[in-house]
Amino acid sequence: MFFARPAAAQTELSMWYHGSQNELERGIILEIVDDFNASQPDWKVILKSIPEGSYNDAVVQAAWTGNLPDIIDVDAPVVANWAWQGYLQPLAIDASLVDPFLPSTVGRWNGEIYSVGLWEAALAILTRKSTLAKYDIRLPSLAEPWTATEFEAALVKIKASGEFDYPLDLGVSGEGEWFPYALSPFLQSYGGDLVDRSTYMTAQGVLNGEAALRFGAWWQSLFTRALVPAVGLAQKDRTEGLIDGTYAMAWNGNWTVLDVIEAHGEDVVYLPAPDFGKGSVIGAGSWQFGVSATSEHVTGASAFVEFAIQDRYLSSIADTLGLIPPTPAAAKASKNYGPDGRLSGFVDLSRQQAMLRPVSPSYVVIAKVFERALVEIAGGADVQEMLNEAVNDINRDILRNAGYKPE
Amino acid sequence: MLGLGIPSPAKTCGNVQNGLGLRRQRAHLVIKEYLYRLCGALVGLAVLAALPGQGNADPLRVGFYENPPKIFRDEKGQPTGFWPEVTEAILTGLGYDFEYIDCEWETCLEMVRQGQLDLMPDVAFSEERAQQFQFINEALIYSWSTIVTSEKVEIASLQDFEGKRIAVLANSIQERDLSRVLREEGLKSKLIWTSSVQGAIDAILVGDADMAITNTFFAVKMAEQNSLRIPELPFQVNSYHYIVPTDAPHSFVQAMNLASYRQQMTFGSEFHSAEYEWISFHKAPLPGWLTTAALITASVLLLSGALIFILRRVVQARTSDLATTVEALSAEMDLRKKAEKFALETQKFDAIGRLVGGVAHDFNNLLSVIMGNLELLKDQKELDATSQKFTDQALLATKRGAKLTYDLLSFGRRAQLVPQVLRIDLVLGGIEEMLRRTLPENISVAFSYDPDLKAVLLDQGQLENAILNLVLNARDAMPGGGRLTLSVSNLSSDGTEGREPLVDQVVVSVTDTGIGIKEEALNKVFEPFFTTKEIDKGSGMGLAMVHGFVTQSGGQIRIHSIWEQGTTVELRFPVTSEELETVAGSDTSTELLGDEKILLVEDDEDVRHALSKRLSASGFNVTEASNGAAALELATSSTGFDLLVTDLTMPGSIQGVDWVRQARDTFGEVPIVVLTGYGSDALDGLSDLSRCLLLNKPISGPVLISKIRHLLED
Repeated sequence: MFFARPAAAQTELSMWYHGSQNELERGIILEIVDDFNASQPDWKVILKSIPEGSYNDAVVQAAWTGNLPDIIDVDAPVVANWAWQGYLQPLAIDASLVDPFLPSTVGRWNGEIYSVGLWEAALAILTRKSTLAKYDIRLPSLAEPWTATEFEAALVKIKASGEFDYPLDLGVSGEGEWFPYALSPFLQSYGGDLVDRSTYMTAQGVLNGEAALRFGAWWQSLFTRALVPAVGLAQKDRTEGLIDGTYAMAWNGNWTVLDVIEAHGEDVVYLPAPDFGKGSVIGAGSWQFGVSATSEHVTGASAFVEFAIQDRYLSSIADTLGLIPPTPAAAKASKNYGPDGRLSGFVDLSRQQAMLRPVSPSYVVIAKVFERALVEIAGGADVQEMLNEAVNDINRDILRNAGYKPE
Repeated sequence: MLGLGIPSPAKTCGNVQNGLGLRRQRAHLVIKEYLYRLCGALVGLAVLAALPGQGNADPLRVGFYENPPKIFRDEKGQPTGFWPEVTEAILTGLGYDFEYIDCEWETCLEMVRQGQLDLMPDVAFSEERAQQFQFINEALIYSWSTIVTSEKVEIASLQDFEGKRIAVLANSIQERDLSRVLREEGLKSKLIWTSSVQGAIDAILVGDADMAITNTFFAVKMAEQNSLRIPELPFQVNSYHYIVPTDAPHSFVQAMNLASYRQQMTFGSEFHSAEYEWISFHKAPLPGWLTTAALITASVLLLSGALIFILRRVVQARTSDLATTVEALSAEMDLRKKAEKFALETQKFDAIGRLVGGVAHDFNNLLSVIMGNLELLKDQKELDATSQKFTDQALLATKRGAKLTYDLLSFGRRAQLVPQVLRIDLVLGGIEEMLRRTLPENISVAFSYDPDLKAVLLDQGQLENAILNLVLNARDAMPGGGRLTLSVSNLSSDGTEGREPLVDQVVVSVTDTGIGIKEEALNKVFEPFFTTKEIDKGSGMGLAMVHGFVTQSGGQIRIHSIWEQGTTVELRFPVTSEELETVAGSDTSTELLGDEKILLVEDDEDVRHALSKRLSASGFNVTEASNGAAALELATSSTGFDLLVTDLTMPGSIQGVDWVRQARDTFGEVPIVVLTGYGSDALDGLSDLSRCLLLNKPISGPVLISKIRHLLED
């Protein structure tokens, strides 16, 4: 007697995943893959974890040698670049499927959907209610965040108390994507931006205009007045620093909130970003699944992506890893982000304040140039000079690439 | 614990058959290869016999992670790629049964650390990892990034990166390596990030960047197509090895070393086959459309002979592709040779530098004791004239010893330099007469200075020493007389020379018409204790010291020599834009005495005793401590000190830069004099400390007192 064996007829799909050191995360991805393979007779995903530190290099190398896998894990702000470089092809899924998704969790470029993410990460000011009350600082809300003046007064007042090493921790001890992800929203709240998003052809006027200059001056003053730890200053664990009172407030992600709540219970609050004039803005980000340009099985690969973005997996990730579910239904079903969840506020925060990083192949360059400018300004460089140089560097890159026009 | 298994005969035989099949077309090599294998198997068996746990049937546990094409699983889940093929050959050749254990990269390393894996392939060597694992010395893969420059830019060393605009792919390994190198070397360059690999080359072509750093395969192709230059300097050479736990038997490590070496030395071995298949650049893929076209063409050919013409075109294309491949392979081999040579030279000089630094430290401590006691002895009023003379001679010899250790430190680039802005012609003008006096009458000498010579940032004393060394070398090279020319000139970055530098330089040339240096000796002349002179005619430290000094000063040294015609040594120093300083005054002061309270921290009892006596003799109130902890205790019990004199390297938990910082925190703004036998780079981390002075051991009493006096009065 013979039993039907779906695997025998299955076509294999290779998938690369930026091998997270997080066992929980890897466990969920493996579960999704196993479920998908068992759910249908046509496709079998073979998951390969590439070390995170060399993941981007492996993809670039594979693209050069024609060895890209069928399904790729891709960091959201890089999607446009990889699509432009021809590493990715559009997903073959019904566009309405991603309608309920947070905009930041859908990788789009040139009118096409290239990738979808299973989670979203949001930032907030983490602090304690008792600290605000002690210094008579108003508790802001999503509807009424702190104004620039209120935020300034709060920092100065806490600094003057001498109770904390620093009133605020911005997490600038390291380097990398944190700068554009976490800090460019302040620039945008001032009214500036990393690049002129109406054309994506220049940064002139937005990164070195009047609003950007005011942002730059404020940014520099944070360091000259020692309101925040210096750039590159070795820090112990950030979350620990907030818990033990080294910092009064921390600009940090939703993934750290549960640890702080664990330590201080109901006294913990997470607050929206201050409004520096053009509204509160926070960054948005996720890793997403896409299909490589060389895949001959776009249907199968897209079917996997479609399978992976089911609400049950999104809720599972949210509850296991503390990340924000991209859809309202997944949020509702989540323990942490449901109506009674301790992190439910982050869903509204993401929906109302999250701003995508520039959707352009040039973003990878913009991010680096912006980081350099912030580091130099924090170190005392002339604000106008640095921002002008940054604009020139970005514009030269756009020019060298003929405006990154799609072929 | 190493899980050593019983050899698997079936696997070994299968592998040998496979190997023989590969070598079928090279009959003349088969016997030689077979003997190698037989020898290898015997070595393996001998090693196994010597290993503990031989009776253990557990297979060897080999870490496996995904990093295509070096190591990965194929569509059937079988381990494939470079490392699995070579590992199979080596381990079966040694008679091991083995199994792969799948793990993430970091987890794999941790498992080796914990002894849960017996072998892990594909680990890049680093000093940090060498502390945690045993590396199989024989590297099986070298990788490096490649520098590409425009025709106008010359890059001979990392120092040439200074001031350059360097294009690099954002978020790439090249960017990370470059950022780290710039940080570690203290170089200032501007990164021009690009959004694609091609973008880095484009940045050079349009003049937005002076150079680019990119992957080697791409660099070779693009340089050829765009008339760009690839300097001989490879960037960030990494060697990839097997690692084993630190407690793995030495005999196993030796066997792996030998087998790895034999794989590389044997023509047609699995190593060469795997390298060609997985690592070399020949695997440029055919575009998908070309594959499809070829299939269609093949079908059509079956139907019509008329398409033979098309077939010929395909053959031509493949031939051209093959030619390109051969060229790329050739370029790769050249680059690999250069990379290996560069890595070896760097490691050799670093190793010697560390060695001499360590020796110099101990030697300096001994000299400190001798010099201190001799100076105290000399101060004894009852000393008769003869004893005084003996003491002077002993002191002189001690100072010569100190000079020798300083030269050693110079070679190791650890000497303490005191750079100042100066014009080399003015400095040499001051020692012209002395230089002339060192030369016999049968040697004519000519000095030539550029009239508008630019200023440089150099240690004046060391520059004079370097020139004197070169002049003495020239003298010894012309025993029958000749001509010595010493010239100093500007070399402009936009000058008329064919390969001008990007920054302005000042060039000092010392040319003689002597016997020259034979070609085989030329690449050794900068090594310490290498000399072509007769025994007792030279220490062999002269050029080594000059090399160390020039390199430490950010310059370059070049030597050209033709046997029996003469030698030219060129020192090139970057021009500085800083203002010219006035000539520094004497180091010693006439007001040397004091009565301040000094805390002296030194672990070597003899050195401490000599220093204490010396300071006390000058009137200072000295309190001694034998280490950092004892000094900190004194800080709480004593009424305070006016100055701290301390060694840097001492036993105990508090030492080095951390100790000095802790001392500053504890003693406040009390001036600190740090004495070290290791050279100035020991104190790189203290440059921000005010009123902190570094002095090299051994130091004479008057100079020490003078420095202390200056510091106290500052």
